[in-house]
Amino acid sequence: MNYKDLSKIEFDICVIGSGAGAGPVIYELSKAGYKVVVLEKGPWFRTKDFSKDELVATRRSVYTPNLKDEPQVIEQEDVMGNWKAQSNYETGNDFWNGNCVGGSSNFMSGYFSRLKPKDFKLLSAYGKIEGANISDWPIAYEDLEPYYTKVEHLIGVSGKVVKHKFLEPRSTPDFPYPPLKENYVSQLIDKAASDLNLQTIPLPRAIISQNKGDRNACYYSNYCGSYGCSSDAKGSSRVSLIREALKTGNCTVVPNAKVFYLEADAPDKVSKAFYYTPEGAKEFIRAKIFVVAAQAVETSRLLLMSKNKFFPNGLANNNGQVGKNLIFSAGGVGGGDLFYKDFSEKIAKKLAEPGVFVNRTLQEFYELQDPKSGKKMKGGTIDFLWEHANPVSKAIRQKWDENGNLLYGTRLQNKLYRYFNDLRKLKFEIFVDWLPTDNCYVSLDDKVKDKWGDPVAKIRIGHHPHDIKIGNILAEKAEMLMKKLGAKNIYSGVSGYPPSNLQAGGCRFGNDPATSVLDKNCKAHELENLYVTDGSFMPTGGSVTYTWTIYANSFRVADKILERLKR
Amino acid sequence: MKRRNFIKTLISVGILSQIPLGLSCSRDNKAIIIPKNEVLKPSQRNVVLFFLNKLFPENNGVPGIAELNTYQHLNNYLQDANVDIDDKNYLIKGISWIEESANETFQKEFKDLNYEQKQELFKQILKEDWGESWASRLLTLIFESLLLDPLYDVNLQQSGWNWLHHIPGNPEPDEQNHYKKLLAAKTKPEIITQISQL
Ligand SMILES: Cc1cc2nc3c(=O)[nH]c(=O)nc-3n(C[C@H](O)[C@H](O)[C@H](O)COP(=O)(O)OP(=O)(O)OC[C@H]3O[C@@H](n4cnc5c(N)ncnc54)[C@H](O)[C@@H]3O)c2cc1C
Ligand code: SF4
Repeated sequence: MNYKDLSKIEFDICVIGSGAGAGPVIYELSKAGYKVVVLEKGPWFRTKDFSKDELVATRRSVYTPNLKDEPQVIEQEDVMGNWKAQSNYETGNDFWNGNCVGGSSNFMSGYFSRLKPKDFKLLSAYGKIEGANISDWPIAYEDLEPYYTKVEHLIGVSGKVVKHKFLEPRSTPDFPYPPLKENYVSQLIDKAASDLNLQTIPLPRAIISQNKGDRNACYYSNYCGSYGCSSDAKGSSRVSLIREALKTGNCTVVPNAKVFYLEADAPDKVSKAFYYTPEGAKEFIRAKIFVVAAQAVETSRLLLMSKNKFFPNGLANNNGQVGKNLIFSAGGVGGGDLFYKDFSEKIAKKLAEPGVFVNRTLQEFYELQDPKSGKKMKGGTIDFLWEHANPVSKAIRQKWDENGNLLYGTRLQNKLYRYFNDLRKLKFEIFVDWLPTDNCYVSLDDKVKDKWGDPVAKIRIGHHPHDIKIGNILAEKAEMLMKKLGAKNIYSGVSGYPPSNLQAGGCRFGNDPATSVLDKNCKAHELENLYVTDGSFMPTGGSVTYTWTIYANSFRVADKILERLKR
Repeated sequence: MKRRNFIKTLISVGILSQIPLGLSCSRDNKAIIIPKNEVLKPSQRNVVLFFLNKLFPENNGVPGIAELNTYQHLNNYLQDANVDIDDKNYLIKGISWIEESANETFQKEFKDLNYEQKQELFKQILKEDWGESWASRLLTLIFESLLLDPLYDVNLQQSGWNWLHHIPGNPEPDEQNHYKKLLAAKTKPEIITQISQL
């Protein structure tokens, strides 16, 4: 079969992208006997292609595009309040994530948390915040609960349910996979929390702790986030869904196929997806239904690029909503050093044990009370984790002295040696609701083009001051806990700069076409056969990482598409 | 590019993107392997080796740039089509600014300076913003040669890992999933319809 042969077939479903948002649709529709084609801009890296190679994983552009070929423009506010746009080819502020079959889900750390019932109705639960475009979701937690459970089984989530103040209602008593092995530090965290009258809870992971079909259990490789998994324990959409879809004989995957245009030859219908082959030729796919899941930024970009006489401002964008209300899963980061000398030899040895996880989270502050008004306000989550084992990155962070001067020679070597041998850094990550605002959105840049000559995404990354306020409250709590457990050199940083790997929004769903792009089933209001199933649909993101919700929602939409096809 | 502009570019491109580069100098280095397909001219090599050795000298138990094969790594970097051309040019421009500085300060070419003069020049250059930025890039390359997998002809006999007692991840990369092989996969035409193709 070649590219020309593909254009002669009319597929039932064409899915653009193959990450967390795409996998469930690919899986469910293939299993149900429909002909599915997947257009994925990156290659299909096989499991044997993954190793613990820092050069490949983080030092060079392998899993992401070269920024000279495919830049994005990032627009930031300067100290004078002016918005300055700069290509990330110049700045290095890379908003690309995994570009390959399975997308970023191959490289995620798999910290998985469900949203909570109130996260589906942030506006009604906590009220309006000036300058934020908060809206309730058109569905409730109960609509998504069965799909969260489905993800636990199909993607594979390990953990342990513990009763706590903000535990989400569950239809099953516990996770299908028992918790992963933990480092001794988890006990220290629990003890410190308990001394402070706080409750830590085990953090679920999208990592299987027992074998599942042809996937092997986690072998605690010590290099998880940013690395592909060599045992297929990590719940990437590639191994948990797309490989399974392929077994049905109904699924065709076209790697290295970059989609650049969705053609609509009627006012309400997409007819073709045009893509570039690796040789640079333009080809197309015909299908009855199109599903876009290219990750939030690139999904909005593709719709904005797909202009035609019915949609002069981009597909599904006659109300000017595409790209708007981009959000990130963010808040702040911090950490502290655990010096081995501060512990007995036996405990120090346990703390140094590589591979096994920390897997602790604090959700005690998921809801806070405003000290001024006394009203309830949304708080967030604090996750604890070890500093990544990546040695080059660790070494690079030791380059400078406390005054910001470059170290070299013996002083540098001594510092490196001490850093690698005397301590282990425990870190924390804070997640608050990134409030959607008019200053966080995707548009097309009118000057910068990619290597194919197409306009690149311009990402304005403004934040709401409220995010910082909540981040600071949580950072203070996290620092308190770090101190209690004996960490030194404790620090934290709360900023409005978004983590580029945790993106959502841009095509939010809602009941009103004037303020949303998608309806409650994630179908474009204006088109009868276009769906978006990555994180773009989320109007607000809860105070956790997004991927469990992205997977769950995509399973929900797959059911809606199936219902429609069976009609 | 003028030196001052260059600093600006560096701060934005180099540091934030953590794009690598490395070096160092002691009086009696172990032999440096000169790559067959060397990109730099011998005079440029001279400057780079002095800086590499100075930044990361061989010390008691600490592997120097010869054991780490840093110069070969730098050469690979300069030849890597996947590394941005501006980053590579930046590295080379830095060398010419050092050569200019040698002329300005001592009215001599770098190769004609004695050890003390080179040492003085090194210190002087590190006080300049552009010099510090350039050296920082060299250090990043040194760190790569210290801690990347020996598959890439660096960290020879795992000397870097052994020194820092670093435990590498498992599996380590091999010829099958070598950086260059994975890059090649990004341009491979492929249509997958069956599990047996994987
Ligand atoms: C290092 C890292 C750690 C992470 N850790 C966590 C974590 O601990 N917990 C968590 O919840 N989340 C985590 N994430 C985030 C998680 O991976 C994403 O939320 C999730 O994968 C998003 O799903 P998606 O479908 O939107 O995008 P992706 O999974 O990135 O998939 C998008 C796919 O679309 C393809 N594509 C883009 N444009 C086109 C086009 N024009 N044509 C064809 N294909 C296209 C891309 O190549 C990609 O394969 C992490 C991500 C990274 C990178
Ligand atoms: S083996 Fe475990 S720790 Fe290693 S990448 Fe896979 S899931 Fe992560």
